[in-house]
Amino acid sequence: MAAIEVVSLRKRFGDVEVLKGLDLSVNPGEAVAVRGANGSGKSTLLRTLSGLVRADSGKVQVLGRSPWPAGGRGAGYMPQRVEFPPHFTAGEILGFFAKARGIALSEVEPAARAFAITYMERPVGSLSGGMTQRLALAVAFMGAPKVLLVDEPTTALDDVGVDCFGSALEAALLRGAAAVFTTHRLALTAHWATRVYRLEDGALRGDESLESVGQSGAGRGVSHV
Amino acid sequence: MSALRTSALRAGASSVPALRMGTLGTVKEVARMEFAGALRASWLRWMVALFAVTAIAMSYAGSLASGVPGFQGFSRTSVSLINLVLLIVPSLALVLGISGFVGRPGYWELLLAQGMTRQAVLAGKYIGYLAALWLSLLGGVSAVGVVFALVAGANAWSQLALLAVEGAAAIAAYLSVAALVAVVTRDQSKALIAGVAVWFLSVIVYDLAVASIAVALPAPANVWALVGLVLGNPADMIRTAFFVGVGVSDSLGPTGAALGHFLGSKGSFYLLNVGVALWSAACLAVAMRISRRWEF
Repeated sequence: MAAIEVVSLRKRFGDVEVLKGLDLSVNPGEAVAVRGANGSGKSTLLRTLSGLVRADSGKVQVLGRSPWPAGGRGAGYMPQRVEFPPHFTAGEILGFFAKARGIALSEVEPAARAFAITYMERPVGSLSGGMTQRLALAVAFMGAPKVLLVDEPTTALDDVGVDCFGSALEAALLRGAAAVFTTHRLALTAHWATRVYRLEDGALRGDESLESVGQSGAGRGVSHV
Repeated sequence: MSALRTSALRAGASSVPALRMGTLGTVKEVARMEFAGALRASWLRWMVALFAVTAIAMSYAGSLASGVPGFQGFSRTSVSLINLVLLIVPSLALVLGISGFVGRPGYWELLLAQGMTRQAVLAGKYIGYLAALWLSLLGGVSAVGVVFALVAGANAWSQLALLAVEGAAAIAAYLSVAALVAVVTRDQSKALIAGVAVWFLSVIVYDLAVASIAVALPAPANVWALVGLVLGNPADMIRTAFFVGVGVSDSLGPTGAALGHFLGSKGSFYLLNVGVALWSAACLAVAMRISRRWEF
């Protein structure tokens, strides 16, 4: 059974129909990368899968149930941009989200380590963009979620952060998680994804541009759709 | 114990696996987080200090007007102080509330992605800010009380307590308005502009309109219009309740006379405070209803 099932998803904001009958199915152990121009609907797709946006029509199921409106239980989500409350430390933020998800402290530490978060006692307001993004990724990956929904995971990351993300994603897929992530980094997409799509005109299409980076570098073997 | 364990435990994480939070658990945890965050923000402490200093300055200025320099007792300054409370408290509640309810980019999304409901997060934020602002008000009023006791002798403690109670009611009411403004506008800058407009209309303009209507309408219609208008605005209800509570309802003119005549001072006091509570509950209920369909 697919971990994520989307059939004929349509979503309109005012006069603009962003998603026009989108289909997607992601099995456990698969990572799907979604590329596309700015405003093409990549974030809308992830928000719909996270229960933040309501589909106008079509079927959306994450782990066998509709994510709207209660959010994706069992899913780890990272929005494109996050501002945490500035007066809390990184450790307090992780502790809060651990409690929110019913995760034991023993599962918090590996998530922090996986993203090289060595600044647990620093207030979030003093962190750089990259450090904040690593914290947001740790929140998403914490507790070994069965589904990962990650919006532009590497925009602010340095090389260490990018490596952390790649390793964490690989480990998640090995334990059977399903992942959907959006990115503009073509080379990294080829390395991480098991399937790559381009979101264009409200629907997912095969990404021909992958030819240019070669598929042989794919750590997980890119399958062209 | 590692730094991670210390900070995560401080934030409430358990050392053993727990169940996901239910609605009440979400409300409690979000409230706890927002309360702690608001208390750590320095501007709240500055507002407490500003309130205390302004109150003392008003006491001294009042004495200058009477030609005998020195500090007036609290009982003589209380009428000015309720107006000061009604200037500062609603603006604080609106600004803090609107900023918090609209939230930082991505943070609401992250909370909801944990399976929390929109209403539970909104209720948690409301309770968190309410508790932080109440504590700050208590700090400010206590500071005023101590200073008055030192410079003008201990007096009128019940009036000081009533000032705190009515200030707390103002916080609850304007925080509810902030929640409503935030869920309707859904945008930080638009919400803040709307909040300032609400404050200006409710605290400044409304009173002038009420006075104009009182003059324009013939008696006894103007009296009933006044009573109705007072019940339509939390700031007026709170001010009137305070005046009735401290026994200076004469200064309310025909409104106070009408309320006193039909309900007695105790009845008027309760009616006005129940009115504020209903106002707060109604605004919050509407905000929570709208938030159910809130998309991000």
